[in-house]
Amino acid sequence: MTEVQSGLRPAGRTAVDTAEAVILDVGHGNCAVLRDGVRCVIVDAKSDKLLYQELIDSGICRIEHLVLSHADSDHIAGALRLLPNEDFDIGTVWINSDSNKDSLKWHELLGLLARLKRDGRLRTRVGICDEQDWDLSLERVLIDVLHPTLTDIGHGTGKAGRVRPEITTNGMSVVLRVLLDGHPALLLPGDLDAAALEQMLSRSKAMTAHVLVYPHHGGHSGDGPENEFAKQLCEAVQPEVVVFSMGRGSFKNPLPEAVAEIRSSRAGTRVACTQLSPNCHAGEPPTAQPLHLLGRPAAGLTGNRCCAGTVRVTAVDGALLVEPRPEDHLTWIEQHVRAPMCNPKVRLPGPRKP
Amino acid sequence: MSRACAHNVLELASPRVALVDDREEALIRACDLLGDLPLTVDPMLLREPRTLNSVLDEILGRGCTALISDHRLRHHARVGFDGAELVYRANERKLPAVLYSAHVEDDEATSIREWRYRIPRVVQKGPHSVEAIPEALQTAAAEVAGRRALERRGFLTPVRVVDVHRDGYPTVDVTVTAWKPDTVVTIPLTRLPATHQSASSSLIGTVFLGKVNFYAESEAELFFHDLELAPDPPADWNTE
Ligand SMILES: [Zn+2]
Repeated sequence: MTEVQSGLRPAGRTAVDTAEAVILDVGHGNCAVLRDGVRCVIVDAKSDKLLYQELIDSGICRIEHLVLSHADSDHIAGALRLLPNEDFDIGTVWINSDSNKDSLKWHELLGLLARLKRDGRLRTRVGICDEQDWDLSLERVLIDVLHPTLTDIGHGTGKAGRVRPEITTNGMSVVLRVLLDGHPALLLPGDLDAAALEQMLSRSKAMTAHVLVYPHHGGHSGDGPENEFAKQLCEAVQPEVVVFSMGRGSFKNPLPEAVAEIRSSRAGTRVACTQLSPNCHAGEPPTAQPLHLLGRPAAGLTGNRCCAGTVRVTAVDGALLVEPRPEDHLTWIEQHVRAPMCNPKVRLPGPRKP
Repeated sequence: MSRACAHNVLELASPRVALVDDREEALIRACDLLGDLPLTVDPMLLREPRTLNSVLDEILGRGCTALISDHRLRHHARVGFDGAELVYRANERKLPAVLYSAHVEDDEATSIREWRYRIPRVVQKGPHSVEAIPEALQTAAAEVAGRRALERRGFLTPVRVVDVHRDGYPTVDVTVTAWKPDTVVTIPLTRLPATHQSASSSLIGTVFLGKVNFYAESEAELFFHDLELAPDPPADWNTE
């Protein structure tokens, strides 16, 4: 008996020939769906139900690759629930080993992967590095692995030794550069830290991308000054849009000094947080209807916590389009956000009365 | 015979629903209560030992297109099965069935959980059950037709044993990371593979893989189906 899905909206919201990148608002964590028609590559899977809804809504039936950038829970938790779901064909799940990681989620995910592999449900690849060529690519979505290196994954995570460098779980984050219809569209750096960035900068691979999904949800990159990290990163990536995939929860992300540095070193760059940072608007979030949001699944839809919400990148007429559109998003920010870090010129006394 | 009717159990003007109990007063009370619904209730009092299959055969022979069964049948009827198993087997045979019990909280982790995989709804006996029964029958009919809501679908997932209870109904406490990682759920020991039903404390820490409906909200709804020992990552892990 085939038990089919019920209770969700019907598939096929967008045309099946669409190539797009969707950065889901999953709160604190990451999840990007890189889609080419009915196939997709998923990078990180914090959420499960949102991701599931997104895939069903988009009419996606095959997950060609699932890349887990590193072993932290806010990047893998959803995989435990998505992978056994037979509504989707799954190609290959890509992970890097992490000898520092002793979490139940990671351990159980490995057990599940082994079983699903044995059942012929999916393939597994342990060891994602910059020698990958374009193995992760779909026809209109080209994906280049920039980090870690073969040497890094050979050493694995751990403390510095006689010859080996210290590599943290975050520093082992897989960094992907995504080209949409030929345009350098996205840099997805997971939770890349300052040491790993420094190492990346010493190599000559192109890092430029229209949209930078800022590492570690806009939190700390190590012990060094965060403005320096932001500056180096932006110089290398030269983004037009910086997205912070963060949650209006316990972490006060993004760090103000990172946002300030982006604004000063790259004037005109758009900053878009998936959720409304408590640094911009403390207390209760605005109650006004957020009309600028995409009609996509987003964690912040519960409790009015979205700022940009889920973000979509497409190539239209030879240029990259990032939605929600900046003008609509900015209007909402100007009207409802008390102290938006992304636009210090706008200082409102508080939310306007309706 | 049931197969043809199962898909539209409530679309009929007045579907014939078997109501099984082992106590006459309870059966009369339930008949009265459900009398207001657009159903033809066909009461069936179990008062002597008989097999589960003979009960099901009789229900189908009477032309019933659905079943509502009490859970605790063993005491008065002295039958060798619980209502939960009867409901499970009925649904398995495409006769939409729901469980109807006054002791849901006492039995849900043990004798009900044992059969929960094919029990779409458990309705608590009482005045409010009248409102719940039509939806429950509808859900059962949908499941029999192969349509399970997300909350009722089982997905392969790790189940970790954290405690073992040997007294009374033998159970183990487990955690399901994909459901609520920090919440302990009690399940019958018999849900574990036959090779691991010794109720010894050496089970603690063992991880099994089985189908769990981890999208369900409440613990009472969880089922554990087809558990097997979880494999270690294979040696050829890296070679696709
Ligand atoms: Zn993270």
